[in-house]
Amino acid sequence: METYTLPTTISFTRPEPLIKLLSIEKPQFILDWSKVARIDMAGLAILCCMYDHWGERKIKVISANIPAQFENYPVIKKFMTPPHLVTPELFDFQQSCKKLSGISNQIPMFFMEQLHSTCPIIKIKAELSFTCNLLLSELMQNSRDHSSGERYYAFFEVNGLNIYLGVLDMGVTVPAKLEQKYNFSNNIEAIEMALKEGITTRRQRAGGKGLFYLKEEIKACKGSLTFISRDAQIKMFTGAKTIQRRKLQTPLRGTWIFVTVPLLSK
Amino acid sequence: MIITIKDSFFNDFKTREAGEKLRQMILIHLKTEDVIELDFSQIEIASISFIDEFLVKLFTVEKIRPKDWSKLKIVNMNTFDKKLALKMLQDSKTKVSF
Repeated sequence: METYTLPTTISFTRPEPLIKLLSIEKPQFILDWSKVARIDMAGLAILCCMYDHWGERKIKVISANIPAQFENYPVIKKFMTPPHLVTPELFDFQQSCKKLSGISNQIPMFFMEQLHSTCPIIKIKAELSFTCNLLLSELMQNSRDHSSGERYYAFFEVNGLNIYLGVLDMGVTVPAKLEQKYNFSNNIEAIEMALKEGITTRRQRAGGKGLFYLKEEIKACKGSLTFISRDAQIKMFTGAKTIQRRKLQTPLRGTWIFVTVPLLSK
Repeated sequence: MIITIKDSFFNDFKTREAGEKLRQMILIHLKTEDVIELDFSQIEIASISFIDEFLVKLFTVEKIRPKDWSKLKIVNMNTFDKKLALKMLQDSKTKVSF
C-alpha cells in the first residue's frame, strides 16, 4: 500500500501540499503523520474537509504515527480509524481563544459570543469582536447559500498579534457558481469578480454585497485574505496593498477562505 | 407596535431570509400602525445580508415614502450595527438617519 506524508505544518499558509493529497485516487493508502509538528485552527478545519472528502468517497485512509500532542483534537481522534462520513458537529473544538465548528446547513447565531467566556481579549475588544462576527457571518452565509455542500467548517484563533478566522467547504466552487451567469477567462478572474459589489447569482433576494463588504472590512483593519476555489488562489495583503494571484497545480473541489486581522487594528 | 428582534428572530437574525421576513412584517404593519418600534436590545446582528434585506431594501426596492419611514423607530441597536447600517444606507445613496 502506498504511503503519503503530511507536511510539517498544517495551516492555511501552505495549503497546496494538502490540496494535492485530496487528489489521490487510490482506494486505500497510508497517511503518515510523523512529520507533523504544528497544526493551527485553520489546519484543523482543512483536516476536517480532508476527512469528509475521503469519508464520502469511501477511501480507506490508514493513519500512521499520529503525534500524541494532537490526539485531543476530535478530528484527529477520528483519523485513528479510516474516515467515514459523520456529522460535522462531531469535530467541534473550543479551548481558550481557539474554536472550530462543523456546521450543517445553518448559520450559528452566537459563534463569537460563545468565545467571550473563554477568550477575554475578544470580550474586551468589542469593535474587533464585532468585525470578526461580521466577517464570519458573511463567509458562513456564502458557504451555506452557494456551495450546496450541506456542511462547512468555521474557525477562529487568536495567536500572537493576529486573529485568524475562516470558513471552508467542499461544495460547489465559486467559479462554478459564477459561470452560470457571468463570463470570465479563468478562475482567478472569477474570484476577483466575486469580490466586487453587485455580483450575485441569486435570482430571489438579490444580494452581491456580502463579499464586497467583507473585503472592505478587511481593508479597514489592514488585514489579509486568502481565497482558494478550484485552481485559483488569491492572497490580498491590504496593509501592504499587494495581491498575489496563483494558479494551483491541483484544483480544490471546494472553497477555502482564510482571513487574518491584526489584533491591534481596532 | 413593538417588534423585539431578540424574541421574534431568536433562531435567525443574520440571513437574507430573516431580513426579508422582517421587511415584510414592517410593510404589513405600516399599513395599520402609527408607530412601529424595532427593538434590537441584547443582540448583535453583525450581518450585511440581514441589514440589507430589512433596512436598505425598504428604500431601494420598496421605495417607502418619508411619511412611512417616520413611523419606524429603530431603538437599542448595538453601536457597531448602527454604524454599519448607516454606512450601508449611505452607500445605497439613501439620505436618512436614525
